[in-house]
Amino acid sequence: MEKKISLLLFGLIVSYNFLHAQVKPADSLHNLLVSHTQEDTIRVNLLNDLAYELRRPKPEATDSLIKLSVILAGKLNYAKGKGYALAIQGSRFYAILKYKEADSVFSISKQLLESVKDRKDEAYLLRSLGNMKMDEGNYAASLDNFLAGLKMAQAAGDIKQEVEIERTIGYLYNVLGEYEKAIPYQTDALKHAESIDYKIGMSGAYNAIGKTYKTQGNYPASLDGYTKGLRIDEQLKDSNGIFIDYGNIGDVYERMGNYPEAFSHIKVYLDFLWGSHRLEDRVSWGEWVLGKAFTHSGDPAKGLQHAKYSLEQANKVGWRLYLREITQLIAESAAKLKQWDTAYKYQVLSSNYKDSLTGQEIARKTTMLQANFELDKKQAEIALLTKDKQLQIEENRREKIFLFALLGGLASLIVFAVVLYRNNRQKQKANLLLQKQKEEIDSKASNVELLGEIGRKITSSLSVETIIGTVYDNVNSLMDASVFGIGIYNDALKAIEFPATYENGQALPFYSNSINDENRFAVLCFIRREEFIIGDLEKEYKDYMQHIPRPKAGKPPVSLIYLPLKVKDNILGVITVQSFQKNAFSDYHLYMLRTIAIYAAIALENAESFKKLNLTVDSLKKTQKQLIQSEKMASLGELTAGIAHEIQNPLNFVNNFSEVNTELIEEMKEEINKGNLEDAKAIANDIAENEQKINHHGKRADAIVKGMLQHSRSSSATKEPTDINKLADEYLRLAYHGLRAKDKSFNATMKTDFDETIGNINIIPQDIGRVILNLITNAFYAIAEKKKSPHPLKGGENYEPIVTVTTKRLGSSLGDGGKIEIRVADNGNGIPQKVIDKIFQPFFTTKPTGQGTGLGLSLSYDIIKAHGGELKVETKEGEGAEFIILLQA
Amino acid sequence: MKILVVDDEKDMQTLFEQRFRKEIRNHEAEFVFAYSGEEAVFYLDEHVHEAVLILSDINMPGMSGLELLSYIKHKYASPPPVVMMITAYGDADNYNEAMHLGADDFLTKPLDFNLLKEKLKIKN
Repeated sequence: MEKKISLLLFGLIVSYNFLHAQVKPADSLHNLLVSHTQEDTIRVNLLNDLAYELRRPKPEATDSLIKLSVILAGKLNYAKGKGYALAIQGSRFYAILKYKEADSVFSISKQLLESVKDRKDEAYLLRSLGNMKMDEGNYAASLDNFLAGLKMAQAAGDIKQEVEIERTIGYLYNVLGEYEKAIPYQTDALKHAESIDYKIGMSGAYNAIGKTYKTQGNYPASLDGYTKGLRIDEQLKDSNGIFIDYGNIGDVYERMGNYPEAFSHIKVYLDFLWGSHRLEDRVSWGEWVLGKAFTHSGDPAKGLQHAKYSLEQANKVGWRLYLREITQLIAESAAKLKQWDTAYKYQVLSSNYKDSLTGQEIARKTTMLQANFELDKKQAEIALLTKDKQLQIEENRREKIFLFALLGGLASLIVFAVVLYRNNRQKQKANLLLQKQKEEIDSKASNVELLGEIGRKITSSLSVETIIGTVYDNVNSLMDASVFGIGIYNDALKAIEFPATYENGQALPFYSNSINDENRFAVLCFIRREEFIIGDLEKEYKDYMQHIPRPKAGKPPVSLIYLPLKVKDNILGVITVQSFQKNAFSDYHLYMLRTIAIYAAIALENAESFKKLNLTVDSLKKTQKQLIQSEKMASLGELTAGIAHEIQNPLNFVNNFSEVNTELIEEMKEEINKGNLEDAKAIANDIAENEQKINHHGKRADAIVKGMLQHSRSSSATKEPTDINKLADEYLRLAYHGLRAKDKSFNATMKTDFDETIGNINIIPQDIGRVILNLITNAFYAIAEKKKSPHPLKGGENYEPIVTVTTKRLGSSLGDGGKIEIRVADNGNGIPQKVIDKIFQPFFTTKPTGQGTGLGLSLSYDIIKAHGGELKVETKEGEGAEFIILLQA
Repeated sequence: MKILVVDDEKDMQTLFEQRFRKEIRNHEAEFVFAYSGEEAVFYLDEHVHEAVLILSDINMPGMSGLELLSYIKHKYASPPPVVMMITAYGDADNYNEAMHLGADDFLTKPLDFNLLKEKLKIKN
């Protein structure tokens, strides 16, 4: 076993040598490892360090090294080494998306590292955990881990780790859209990296700063950050870093409108990708920037070309991050070229992406709220701890006084007793206060869940009335909402409308406040975008307005809150709670109401977008009918076009070889006349060979044409007795030829199992043919997809793509009642359970943008229904799908 | 002049050798053949300094002719070798993409060898 391990290690090191020469620390580490063969803790550390260094350039090597390290550390009972090894392994698991494995390995690692109090490694572990939580979208937990890791790194004096964590926290805040919070962390990272001349850290920090300023729209500052990062990467000779810097700088120049600089930078970026191994997502991004630059600098034709190429590359690898921007660019460029149909199509696509991103926006906002709240809670806890400490100091001081007093003599005993009594009272009071604060924090913790639940309820509706009702129910359960209302601004009427206001549980009639009526809190709150919290209206109204406002409906309130309803910078209206008691609302109530206001604003904005969306859907439905018609033409047209081209290949040989033969025959005659019989014979042999080639390619052309003719034959739209087996066989071949014409690398095994007892059945052959063709084309697409990207669970080694077409007679074969079943099966990745209900709906497609209309299956379904038959699907994820047509015999 | 012909159909070699048999005999032209884009890349890397004219098919398994074209035009920037595409798929999309990627000419199959010979003389 030992020998095996060292052999394996040797192999790893040798293969590593051929790779990345730029990983210098790894070089010296592996030399050390080779010379240090003793099985001790030093070896474990070396294994771990090398594994850590290789985790990016050579992850498989990391995996193997970690296994060795875990075994050796286990043998040596070396908890620190094993803990660190497992931390690295955990981050490898999460890098390949095995979150469950990562979780369990991380938790063992945590136990081990905590038991030996190894802060340095624990800091690394916490950073990895934070990264994983961030990827999962659990931002609060992510921040938690990062902050704890930062504290650990600081305690251990590990400045590199501190730099990495600070940069990552900056990144997290950037993701959450809290730029003001991101920048301080990123500048801290820079400061700390500079203090130890940690170049990689400095470059990373500058890049992070560049990115934050870019997202914020502060381009000069962004450019400054990226350029400084580039200078450092140039010092480091890090070609990977340099080309990314060039790309980012090009993008910023483009946004600034400095096109010459944008072009020259993005060219360096793209050239690097062409030179080294090509990464589709990077190419897609670069082409997008290039396209933007062309379109914005007055050449939309080139812009459009690059944007389309960008989209194609993104689709090739399923990269979704910039789809909205890319499709938007296509629409913009096409509009400039007056290609209205393209512009419209991509505009719709782009806004679809925007809708799904708005969903993310809500999720992001919610988690941000939670993260902020968790932070508040932590700060409160820290404040509490400091208070505890102060109290103790005070107590110590008091004990000293007590000693002096004792020494001072009995005379002061009475005075002392009084002092003691008072002190005791103070202490009790302080304790009481502490207790109260503690309770409040505990209750706040459960409020996070409560607020989450309320948020879900509020944002789940798309009708304004339901939203207001839900908000009211929840506010009512939290505070004295004797009066509750939500005002929504109507821009056309320049008024704030209150569609549903509640007073003591009763709905008040509709009313509205003109935006010019400044004697209204609702109007002031809306115009100034300020909160109004009034504890006693009689006393306080003078601060804001001339006379006490008289409500348009219901009784005048005594205390009230008005909050603006905002989403980002967009103000939608106001929310109010009012009470007939003085000072009915505490800070806690205000806090809860603020949070609910954010949810309500998001929900109302959604309802608004939904209304707009509905209008769009109506106009889309009209175009849908036209599209269905053109899809019918397109599916046939696409195939025949491919075949018409494909036939040129054999024709090329037939034409040219026959022309060559004519020439050769002339030459042969000359040779015979000269009496060179040997040469004449050689030419005759060439002629014969060419003749065979002509014959071969002629047959090849024949086969292609036959397929086409069979397809376009007889176009009567009436039912006729048809041999279903023959039909299925023809269309299987046709689909195969069509696909091969488009993609020569395509290959599959086709199996047929036909029931010869079926005979003729009465159908419209072109229509049923179209259905079979569609099902087979889909099956081919599915297996091609599986070949490209195997199912994550079922693996893809030794995959043999198969499409099977089966026909069978079911039930009675005598006269009526019998049914014919046609099955088209593939062994692709299958159809995910969550979309199975949608596959027959028009416009539903899983293919990348532009590749499928989403009408094929919906049309097929309609055709089979028109024949009085059934179209069904059976599928198992990862194993394949089978479509079943049932027709009357 | 050395001409590199890239096509996955092996009969193309026979065809070129026969149609250019006189030019080959008189050493006016020399032909090299590659049966895939990858093979062509390999050949070009090995023969960097030779002036080569490239005639490439577009639809090929593996690396397509268009990928080969953009590779050549990016890698050998100054001066890039002359690349002519020869394809059965003479549609506008294919033509536009080839031109966008920097193709010097675009011929369709069935190939008109008289036309090709004329073009080669001009490109000389």
